[in-house]
Amino acid sequence: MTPVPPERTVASFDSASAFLRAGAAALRGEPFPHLGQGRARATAVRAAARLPWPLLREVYTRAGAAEALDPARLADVDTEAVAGWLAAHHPRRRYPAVLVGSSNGALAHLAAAAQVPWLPTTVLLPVRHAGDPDRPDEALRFGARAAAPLLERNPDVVLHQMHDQLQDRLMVARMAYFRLKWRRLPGAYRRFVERALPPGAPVVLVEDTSAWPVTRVGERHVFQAGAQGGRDPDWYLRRPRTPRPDEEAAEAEWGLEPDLAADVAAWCRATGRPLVRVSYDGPQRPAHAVAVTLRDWSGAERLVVPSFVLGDPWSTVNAGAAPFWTFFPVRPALRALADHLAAVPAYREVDVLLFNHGVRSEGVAGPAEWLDVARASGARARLLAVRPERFPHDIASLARYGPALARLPRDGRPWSPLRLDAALAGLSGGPVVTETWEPPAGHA
Amino acid sequence: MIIVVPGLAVRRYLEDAVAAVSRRGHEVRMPAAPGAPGTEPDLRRYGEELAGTLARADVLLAVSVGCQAAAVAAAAVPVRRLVLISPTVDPRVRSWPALAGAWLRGTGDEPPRLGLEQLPDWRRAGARRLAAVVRSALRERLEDTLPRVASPVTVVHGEHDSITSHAYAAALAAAPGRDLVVVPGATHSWPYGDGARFADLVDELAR
Repeated sequence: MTPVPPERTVASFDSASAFLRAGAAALRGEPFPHLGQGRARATAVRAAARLPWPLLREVYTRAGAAEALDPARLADVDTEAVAGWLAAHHPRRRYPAVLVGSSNGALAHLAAAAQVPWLPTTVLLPVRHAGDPDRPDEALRFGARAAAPLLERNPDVVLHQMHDQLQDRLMVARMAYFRLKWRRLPGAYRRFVERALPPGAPVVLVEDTSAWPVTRVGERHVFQAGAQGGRDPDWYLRRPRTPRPDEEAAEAEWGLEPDLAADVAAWCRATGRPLVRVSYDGPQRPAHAVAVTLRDWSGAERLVVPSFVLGDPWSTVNAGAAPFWTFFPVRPALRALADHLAAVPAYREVDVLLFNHGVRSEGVAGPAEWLDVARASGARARLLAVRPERFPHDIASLARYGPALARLPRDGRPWSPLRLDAALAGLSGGPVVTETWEPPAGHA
Repeated sequence: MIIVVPGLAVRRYLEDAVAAVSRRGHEVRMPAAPGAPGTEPDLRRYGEELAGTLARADVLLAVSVGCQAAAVAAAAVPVRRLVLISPTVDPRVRSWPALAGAWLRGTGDEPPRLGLEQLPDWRRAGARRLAAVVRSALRERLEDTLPRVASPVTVVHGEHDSITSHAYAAALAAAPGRDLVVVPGATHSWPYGDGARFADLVDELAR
């Protein structure tokens, strides 16, 4: 059989895809409207958004499900080709560093400001599977049957099957979430680094140490019930028909595979390439340090609060605004925003984006709560691109956020990319740990 | 001294911006544009002639195709800083039809008065000289000249430049001793009509 084309392998609605394409757009000096989809699709989304929610839900779910791969084709997935395709998104030039590792929206904004690429090491492969969202046990059994040919063909990845009936409720009824994590740095990434980095420029390993209880299905296959969001693992594990966990593993969407960290470190040592490890516990952690660093750099009086994939690093950075990225519109993220606003001098304006995932799930924080927190800091606050009365069903916000961010008032000051040393210094301290390894002097 | 090398046979449209810099107390000189009557339309030869007029303390600032000539000059005579604004020609549009297409696409974003400012200069130069400059611009590869420039280089890129892509500008700036400046909202003709912001930038770069 012919290999599955990489663009059919990786879900376009996933955080890793969105941050990769948004970051690559920023390296081309381009905005990232409607998640990089064509204008025709954005228009279709806006038009469909007028439908009553029950109909719109069907359209939204079917559009997502259309990306799912036929399980019979799993043996034809080539993750090395996927890595080559991911790396090829970035314009060819020399960069002062390359970020590799966990997906993170805050670091995507930092990378855009520093004009450095980010290579994801977890991708979402949606696999067609109709099932009851409240039967994670069935989802596991499906995964156990379907995954063997995929893993056999691709020895460099581990499979973290994820089933979140809370936040991905609409999608898990129609697909299984196969998150593939590289455990060795793909050859395409090694070649990209060799070509794109001058000698002495570091690889920056982004290491989200988030873990989650999992059920082991096979040597390179684990099953994760639930995901980071409004509820902790216990809430999911107490639900009926949920497989019992037997160990902890890197969180499916955000966590970095520990074997990969070791492989990247070994490769850097062997090739004499400086390595900077940026470690933190959970996707929300770097947002505060990134907001402070980019505010210091740009003198921003405006804070933009991107939400999950709803954000545009280029438009935000180019408008001279600081970003405080939130991983999902849930209470823990809202608390993190409140803590940030309490810790820094007040912004003049706060613009809040809210990702609409179509489900009023537990732990979600609504528009009024976000505005209250922003206003309590003394800032003028508004929602950007989101119609509060439709939250969390306002799917058209995906088509609106790009134009809304492109219309941000700009201070117009010419700017130069954030220096890498300033970016790393800004990240250090607090919940983010940076550790640098330099090759010994005289290393060839 | 700040020396401003204009673009394709046009000089008049830059006069206001240069005057704004001059008012900040800088000594500024703007030679005739490449291709203007009495000048050399070949950018390499224009640059070689320009080199003879340079001193090490000068800041050499060039616009559009002027960047290609200025880089030739700075490769021969080191200057305090070489500033390349909207540098050409991006390999993406390195052919007559592609370059013409990019220029036409950009005209809608440019200030409406720009054409009125440039037309008299172009008429004086004549079609033959303009064509000679463009031929030379398509031949002269800035990315090949820059590695021979020992001076610090700043590449200035207008966000809405339709002729030079951000990727090309950033690639030119991606080497030790070079840096990139992005001008939000600016087009290929920047600093036309934006004297104050231009003077601010020159103040900073000439420091």
